[in-house]
Amino acid sequence: MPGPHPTDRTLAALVDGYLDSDSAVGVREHIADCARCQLRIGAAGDAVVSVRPRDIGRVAASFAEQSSMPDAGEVWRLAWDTNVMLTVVWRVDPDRVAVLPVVESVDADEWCVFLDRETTGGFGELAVSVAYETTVPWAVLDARVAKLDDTDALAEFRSAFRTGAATAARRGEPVRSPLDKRLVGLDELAERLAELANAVWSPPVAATAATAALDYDTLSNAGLPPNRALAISKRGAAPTDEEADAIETATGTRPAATPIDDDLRRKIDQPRRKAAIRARARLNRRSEAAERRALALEAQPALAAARGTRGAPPDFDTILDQLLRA
Amino acid sequence: MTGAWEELRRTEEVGPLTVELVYDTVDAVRRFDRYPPPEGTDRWNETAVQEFAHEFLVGDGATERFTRLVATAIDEESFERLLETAVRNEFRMQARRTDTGAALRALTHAVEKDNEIVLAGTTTTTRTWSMLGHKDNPTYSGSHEDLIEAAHSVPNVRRARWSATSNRRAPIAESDSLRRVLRAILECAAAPVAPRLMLEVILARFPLISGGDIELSDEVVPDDNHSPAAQLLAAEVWEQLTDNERLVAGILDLPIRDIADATGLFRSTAHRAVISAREVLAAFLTDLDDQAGVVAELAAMSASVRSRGTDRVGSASISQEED
Repeated sequence: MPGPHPTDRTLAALVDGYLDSDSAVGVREHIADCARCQLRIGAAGDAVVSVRPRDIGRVAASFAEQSSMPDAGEVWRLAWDTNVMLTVVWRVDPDRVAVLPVVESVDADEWCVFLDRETTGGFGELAVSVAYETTVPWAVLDARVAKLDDTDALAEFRSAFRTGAATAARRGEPVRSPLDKRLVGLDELAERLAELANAVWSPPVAATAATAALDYDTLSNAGLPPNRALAISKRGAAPTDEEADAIETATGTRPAATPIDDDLRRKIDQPRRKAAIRARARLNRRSEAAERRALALEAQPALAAARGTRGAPPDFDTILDQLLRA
Repeated sequence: MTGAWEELRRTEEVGPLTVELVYDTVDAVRRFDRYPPPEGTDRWNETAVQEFAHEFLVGDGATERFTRLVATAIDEESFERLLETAVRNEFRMQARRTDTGAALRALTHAVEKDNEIVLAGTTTTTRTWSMLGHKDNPTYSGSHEDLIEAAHSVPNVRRARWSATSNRRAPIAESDSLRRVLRAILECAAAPVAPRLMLEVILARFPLISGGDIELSDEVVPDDNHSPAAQLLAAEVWEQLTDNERLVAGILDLPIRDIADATGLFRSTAHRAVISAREVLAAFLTDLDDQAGVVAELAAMSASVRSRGTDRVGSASISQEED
């Protein structure tokens, strides 16, 4: 599937002929391969033309955003490439964070509890699902956007879900039919959560497969320049993503992922670096995972250099800050 | 400023970029999801789009809604997508509260129970219904009128009998009738049909009903110049009436004693027939533009039955006597 679906607003602009030509080409290419968008185009009704914006008075929209360390009971925005979601952080572990997703009120089922507006830090009534509790890697934590004033209701409801105990909490209606429209929204939520949960850009060192033997001739034949072929064959450097692509094309085998030091990985995954990494990924036209790998590979030589400093641990924070500022 | 998201983050309030984006999104979503026009209007126009958008922009909980949207988005594109989802959910919320939403749920329920109808698609935007033999065809993109005609061509369709004082909404039709109509529509389409399109066709076939009494005023008089639509609808209402109700349908405004005299029914039977006929009429005629025309047609048909005597009808009326 070529990228995310265009919004209805974009489809409307295409149908009505006022989408700019560059955008129109991309949208048309998407539609050509996408049954869902073809169906939507076919379902289009008549446009209402020239609705002019009216002054509607003041509607405020203000919140404070922080990218510090997560804590239980906080509302965090998760982000991975184009996937974004609000969640309540429930438990924080060294490598993963347990979260409860915020569900659209219209999709709330019986295992969603409605938190009243007094406790959600200016976010209004929130429906939070305990049935979809998921652990996600730190890499997807983007920003803290609110903190719940009271988590007792959520804790009690979560406990009721796990133990079958009675609860007086205000909850959504149960789903009674396989055609209940809420299932569509909940299925999409589950898919997006799964994507966030699987956003692992670097497996832990112990789980990384041993790098296959790559000799100089093989690497040269794959098109790598002599200095890189020599460095990689002598295990003095790891292939970049582009080099791995070239090796895979030439040999049919992709070199195993380069082990990333766990400490370095955790430093990269700190929420305070998220915005800079995403900005770099956009600039380099890479996925967030690829950008993090690239950043780690860039930091690795510094790690090697630091090994010669009388055993002092490398200062990853400084290394990464310098790389991200560059 | 690059767009609505930046406008909201910088100014911390809804401005012209956001308003314009909401207008466009409301119009696009109602257009592609084929939401029916708001109650009281027969089509979407600028005013209807604006009113929906304004409710979204400044209605209850709007400030918190926009705070949530801005906090969840990470750029203009994600904001536009999140806003579209929020607008779609607002449509869904409103549809739940309306007769149209109830009709779609009732349709969905009817389709779910029919083994001959195949369901496809997993999302709101891809879901379709089709007859088994047509499930692999491309989605229907033909004329709505053909489907409406097919729906009307099904014989012996009966609307469900329903009390106007019931707290629940009236069913669209008796279940067997509805099933036959649904199958006729899908057979005519010979292709998968989106639920929203089915809803449009069904609503054209069974105009929405919402309980309540119907007032029969003195202004309603028989008239030979009724609209074809009124004649058609009157014929449909006529089909739903029992023989006793047909006898009383044109004289519902008379005292029971006079109705009993005019029809030859016992007073208690005439009373019951009047009550039930009023319920049927209320169910069919509420919100109709040409209410007077339909009632006048019915009055003429009723008078015709009474003038033909009670040979056929009378026997039926006797069989329906309970006391």
